[in-house]
Amino acid sequence: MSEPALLEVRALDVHFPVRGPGLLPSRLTLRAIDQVSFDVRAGEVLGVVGESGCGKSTLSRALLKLIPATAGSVRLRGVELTTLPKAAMRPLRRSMQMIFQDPLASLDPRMTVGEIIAEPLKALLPGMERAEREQRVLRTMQHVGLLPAQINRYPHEFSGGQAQRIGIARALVVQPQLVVCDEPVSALDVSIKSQIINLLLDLRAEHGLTYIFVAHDLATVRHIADRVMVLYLGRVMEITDRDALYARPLHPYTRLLLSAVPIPDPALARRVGPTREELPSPLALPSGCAFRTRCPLADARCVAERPVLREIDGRYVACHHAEAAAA
Amino acid sequence: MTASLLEIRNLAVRFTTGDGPVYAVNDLDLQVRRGEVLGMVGESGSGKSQTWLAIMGLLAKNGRAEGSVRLGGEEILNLPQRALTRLRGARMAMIFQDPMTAMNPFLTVGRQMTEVLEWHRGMSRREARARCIGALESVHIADAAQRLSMYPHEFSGGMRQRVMIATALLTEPQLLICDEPTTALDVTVQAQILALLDELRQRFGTAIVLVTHDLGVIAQLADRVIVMYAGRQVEQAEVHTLYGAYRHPYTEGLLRSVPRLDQPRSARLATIPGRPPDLARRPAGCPFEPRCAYASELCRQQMPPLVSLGEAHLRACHYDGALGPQGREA
Amino acid sequence: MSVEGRHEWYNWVPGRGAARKAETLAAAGVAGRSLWQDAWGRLRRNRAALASLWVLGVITLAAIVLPWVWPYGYAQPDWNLMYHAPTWAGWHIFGTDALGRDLFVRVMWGCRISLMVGVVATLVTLVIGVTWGAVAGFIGGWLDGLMMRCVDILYSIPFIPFVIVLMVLFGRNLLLIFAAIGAVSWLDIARIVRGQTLSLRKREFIEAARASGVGTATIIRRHIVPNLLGIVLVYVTLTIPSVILFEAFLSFLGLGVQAPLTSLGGLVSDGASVLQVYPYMLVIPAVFLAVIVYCFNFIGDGLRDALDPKDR
Repeated sequence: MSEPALLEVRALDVHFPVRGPGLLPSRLTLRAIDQVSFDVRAGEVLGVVGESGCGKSTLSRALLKLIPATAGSVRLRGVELTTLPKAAMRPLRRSMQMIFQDPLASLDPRMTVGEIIAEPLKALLPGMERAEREQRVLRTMQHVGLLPAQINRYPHEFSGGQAQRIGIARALVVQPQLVVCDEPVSALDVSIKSQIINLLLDLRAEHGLTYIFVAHDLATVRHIADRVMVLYLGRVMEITDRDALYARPLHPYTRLLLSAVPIPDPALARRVGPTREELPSPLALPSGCAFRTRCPLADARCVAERPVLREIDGRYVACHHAEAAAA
Repeated sequence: MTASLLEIRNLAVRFTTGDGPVYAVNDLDLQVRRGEVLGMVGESGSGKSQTWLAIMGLLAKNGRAEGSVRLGGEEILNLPQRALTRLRGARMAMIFQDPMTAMNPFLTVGRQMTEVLEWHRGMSRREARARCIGALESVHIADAAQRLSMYPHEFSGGMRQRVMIATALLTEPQLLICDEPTTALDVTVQAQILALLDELRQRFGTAIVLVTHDLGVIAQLADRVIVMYAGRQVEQAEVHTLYGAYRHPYTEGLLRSVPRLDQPRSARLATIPGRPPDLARRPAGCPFEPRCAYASELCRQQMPPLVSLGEAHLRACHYDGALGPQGREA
Repeated sequence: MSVEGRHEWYNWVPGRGAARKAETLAAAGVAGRSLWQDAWGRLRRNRAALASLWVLGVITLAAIVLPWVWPYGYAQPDWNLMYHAPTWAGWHIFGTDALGRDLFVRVMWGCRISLMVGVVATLVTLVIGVTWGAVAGFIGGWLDGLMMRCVDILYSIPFIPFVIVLMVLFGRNLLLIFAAIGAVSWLDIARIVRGQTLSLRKREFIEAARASGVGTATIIRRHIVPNLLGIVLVYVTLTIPSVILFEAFLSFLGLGVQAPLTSLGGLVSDGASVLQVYPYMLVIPAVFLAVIVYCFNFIGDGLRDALDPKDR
């Protein structure tokens, strides 16, 4: 990676203190994000996948400083964000914005569409004149496929897909470079989901946007991402270019995820084997590799030693048995 | 397999709201056969959930159901509450998307399960407990005896759904209605639950209705599929026919807009343009017409009837030409 | 949306075809229906609430206007007509009291004072309570703890002896009644508002505002408070009648408004003492008091139903 990355994340930890059970609660630590490192290059789409509880939402919020990082570093164009005071963070928010999962919940029900989309402009570009702001809002609305006539309407008057367009317009109105999309299509209907994905792809092509696209759906991520990062219990399992990942997943967890995606064709319907162990508690992670309790390849080494993320054929995998899969 | 267990005729579900009536389900005719898995697929507002809530007598209080629903030849729609409660536990059961809301957080799982047997079967607590342990084991929950004394929040999402399925099957119902049973679950857990439902169907011969928006889930399990749009049945077919030789533009749109792992990646996803239908309006023509690439003047004016295309394949569409890319150009 | 237009999104100049059309459309204003308008629509369909609104409106208007135009003042005695039952003679339609004062004008004044005590005390409550609760709930942490402990301490002060002591020390004065009632009932609303704020704070749109770089004070003002208004409004319509009743209770104890001015509670108290001889003295003001309290309660219930999103 000779080109400097737009976003560099190094050994990021996000821990939450949790009260244990019982009358005399012990203080436990929930390691929602545990030693996560990755780069995001300008103009690419990094997909982040994992099951619920893998820390993908926490990660997207920590990148935007909506949740404080416990340790580690997040650099946007070389500027360290984790130690930045609130006031100094504000101008940087112009460069990174977020799209949320639940389109209706992320819009204030008491505000009109125009007010919602103008809000980041008011906060981040307070010097902008009213007329100019209004024009910018209208223009952005058109760009995400909203009618200008809808500017005075309220969120509850929109369907889920339309509401998500409002959320996208709000993120894009300040012309950010990086947009963190936290499951932006998970709550949408099938026919609407594809409209929004196409819209995100179009906007990226037109404005050279960079996305971090968080999702639990591997089929959707394959469609939009250039590279994919697989998270499990707050740890990175694999980071690989899209085509390589879907053609030949190296990590056994990636393989498990891929094999579980139901294919909409009865001729290809797969019957999964007997039930496997479910996710361990994030408060009591297994020793060594976090995935070993569900892994078919697990052996004594996986119990004893935590695998580090290492490079194999230009891909990054955290598994002791990755060579066997690569061969 | 030919005997029909549940027969729905002319079912209509309507809600009165402050802004006027909302027509959630219209003119629905269908049958569920003994031992089959009937998939019902549709997006939000398609009426797929309301149909089964109406049959279970669980509609919201501003909802009304009309028509006829017969279970084993006996009319069950709009039964009085008492009769319905008896029927619900004993002959048909329903599980929901979020098992947590269907459980009482203050009672142990064991208490909630044994209650069903004590009430419906008049069993003693001890007898019921033994049966419940057996039921939990049949849905592959380890340490069933200990699990019975745990509370719902101590279970993971997938485990809770297993408990719900076990509870639903305690009274050996003939019909199990699953409303988006795996939507809230991770893919790996979803695959396990689907496998479990398949196993139970084979073991107990329970007919299953699988209501979902996910065509992938339907393909794993269903024998027959009904596609719903705007409260109407638009297509009905045996599962291989529906996925291989669908005859309705909406089915086509749904199938094409799903990103799939088994096919090469395309630059853009196919979409269905436009928005979901407004159920407060009842257009004279086909409800899908505003979003349909094949629509003609006839579609705007006249509701297409549900007609048979032979071999248990029904559809409601005026368009006669070929579907698919060729059809669109024609 | 023209292809040409798409690439110039950031450098848009007004006056282009598509854009101009957009502007006129926006100006023509397809105005949205806000949640408030929705709620109003539902409230209007609630007959009890609507009727209550009318009755209350009429009473309020009468209480404001009629004392000006009525031939008698509230403290004006007619020595010839003491304890006279309602009569058309001399327009004493509600009769007169022990000093021959016209009961009708006194009831109108009573409504005036009672409504004013209710509304003003509730406004005091509202301003303190909403601010306190919203700040405690939104900022949270140690500040929340401190602010809510203050509320707990104030709660533990026995209220009625406190008010009685105040009245005895400072004399009976209308302002003091407002202050006393307001100072205590804001505690409830602060707790309610804090609870609501805590749940609002976790909502995604607040997170979205923070991601957009909106500051804390602006978030409270622009997002938290407007979303609290619904529940606050319901609470207010239910607080007003309880304040009115409380004032009536104080008057009954002889701690209400200074005579000769009176409130509905004072009139009921006067009437109660002569109930067996002159029942109209009790019945008339009691009916007004009951009607006003009922109306507020109906409106409060109606508002709660109208604002309840589950109904949608």
